[in-house]
Amino acid sequence: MINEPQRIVTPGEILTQESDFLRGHGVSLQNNQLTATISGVVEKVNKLVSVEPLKSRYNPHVGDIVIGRINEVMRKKWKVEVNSTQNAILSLSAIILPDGIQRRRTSTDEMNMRNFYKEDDLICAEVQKIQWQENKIFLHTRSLKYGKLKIRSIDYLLLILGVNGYCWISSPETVPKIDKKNTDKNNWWVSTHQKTDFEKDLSTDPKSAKLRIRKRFIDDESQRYKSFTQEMREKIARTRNSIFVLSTLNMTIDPIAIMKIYSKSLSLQLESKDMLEPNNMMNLIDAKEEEKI
Amino acid sequence: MQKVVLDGNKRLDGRSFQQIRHLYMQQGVNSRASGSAYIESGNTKIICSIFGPRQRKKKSGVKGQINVDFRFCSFANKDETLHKYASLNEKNIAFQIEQTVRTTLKIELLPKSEVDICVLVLQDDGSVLASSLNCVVLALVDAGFEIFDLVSSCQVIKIQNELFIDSTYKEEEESTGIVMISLMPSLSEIAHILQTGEISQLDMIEATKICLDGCAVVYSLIKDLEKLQVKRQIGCFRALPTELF
Repeated sequence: MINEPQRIVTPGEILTQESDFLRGHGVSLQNNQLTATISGVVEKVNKLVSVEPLKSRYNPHVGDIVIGRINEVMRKKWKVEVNSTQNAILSLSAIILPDGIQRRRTSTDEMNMRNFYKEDDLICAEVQKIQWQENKIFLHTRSLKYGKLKIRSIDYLLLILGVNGYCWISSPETVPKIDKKNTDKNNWWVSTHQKTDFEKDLSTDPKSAKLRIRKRFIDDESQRYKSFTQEMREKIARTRNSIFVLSTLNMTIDPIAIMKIYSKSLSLQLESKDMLEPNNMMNLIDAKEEEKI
Repeated sequence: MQKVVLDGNKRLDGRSFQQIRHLYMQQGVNSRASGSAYIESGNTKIICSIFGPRQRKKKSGVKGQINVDFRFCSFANKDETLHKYASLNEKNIAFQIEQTVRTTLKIELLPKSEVDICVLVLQDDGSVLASSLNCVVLALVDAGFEIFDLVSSCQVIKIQNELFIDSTYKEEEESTGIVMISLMPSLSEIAHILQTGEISQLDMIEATKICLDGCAVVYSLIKDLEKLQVKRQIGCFRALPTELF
């Protein structure tokens, strides 16, 4: 990969004198000149000029998979916090009912909203619609893929990378861990599994990145913590630190990169907690470069 | 005048009348905030944290909202009597900051959202408003807000018949008039101008000139810092490895 010379700009810098360019994100027209409004890298695609920011809130697009936390339960809808300028809206008619039947929501459903999702629940949803005027984001969970994030997997690590910068790493029968990071555009569902004797029918084909989730609701809360192994905890911590390494060094967070750093950290025999030291971080990243070439 | 001038041409800290103080600025000091900055201008130390943009707490209204919370720490000033009137002063300064931020922030991109700007003065040694504004601008950029230009601010005071730039607390005590200007150099616009006390017209013109020079110096420093920050952060930036799929 050749790095083309990137132009770095700060707010107020003049990008170009010509005015026949289309303005993208981070560019404004002042005195017939195009100036940058954020600090970042300039991107020119044909006649479109935009500035790629280093840090920003989540900009929603239809079809994005996001992870959010329920903030409020209102009449016929939930307000979900998704790391954007506003809270997203998940309406009662946009969720999948437990019985799976497509029917009209009754007043009983309205009364039982808290049985579906209540405050502080974590959900995974897809962006259905956006009202640009007011930055309103509408979510839906109309598939088995989406919904409340609780125990879903059996013996492998479940990793959901939300486009809005939140990630979800979980494993069976443990308290799931949520991690907030700034991510680049990715929309992946990956189930990376650690080899055990039990998963014979799960494939490790990261290239296909297929969806593999088996549902298994554990209703009894106490059972959740029953077989809480040290091993699983370490795996989650290691995955989380791999993502953190990528994020700190401003690299794209995608499943392959995470797995490479994960396996490199294992081969270097690093403890999860040692992965975050600057020297070790550089070792992990260098390894990634070698493998690419 | 004797209290603040030595040898006729130097101030107590060794600066000339038209020299600004040594600046130290750093971004990203508060890991929990969306953006933050810390500034040291001589002995004036200020930290600013910005939270947002996020959902408005009040339901009404369509426009974006800017909330500024400006505070002096209780230990910021050796003079205890100042603290009595601090709350009044704090509200006033907070209002000035909000006005200035409004000129530079692209608020139309944040409908129904709010921005919380928290400015905390750790040590007050004069020129608090100007340094706060510099700090706020750095924090805004750190948080990724879209702003028209980096606003640089500077303050000039008048003592007897001399104009001093970037005053210390002692100098401010002796002053009869203060002018603070915030400049947006790329757009050649003044974001904010505040004048308190007594200043004649001629002095005002002179003070404005000196102030704008000072602002230009501060602007170049802020801009250099920003460029360095971006370079450091994109040092490891890589494009999407699409060929691996």
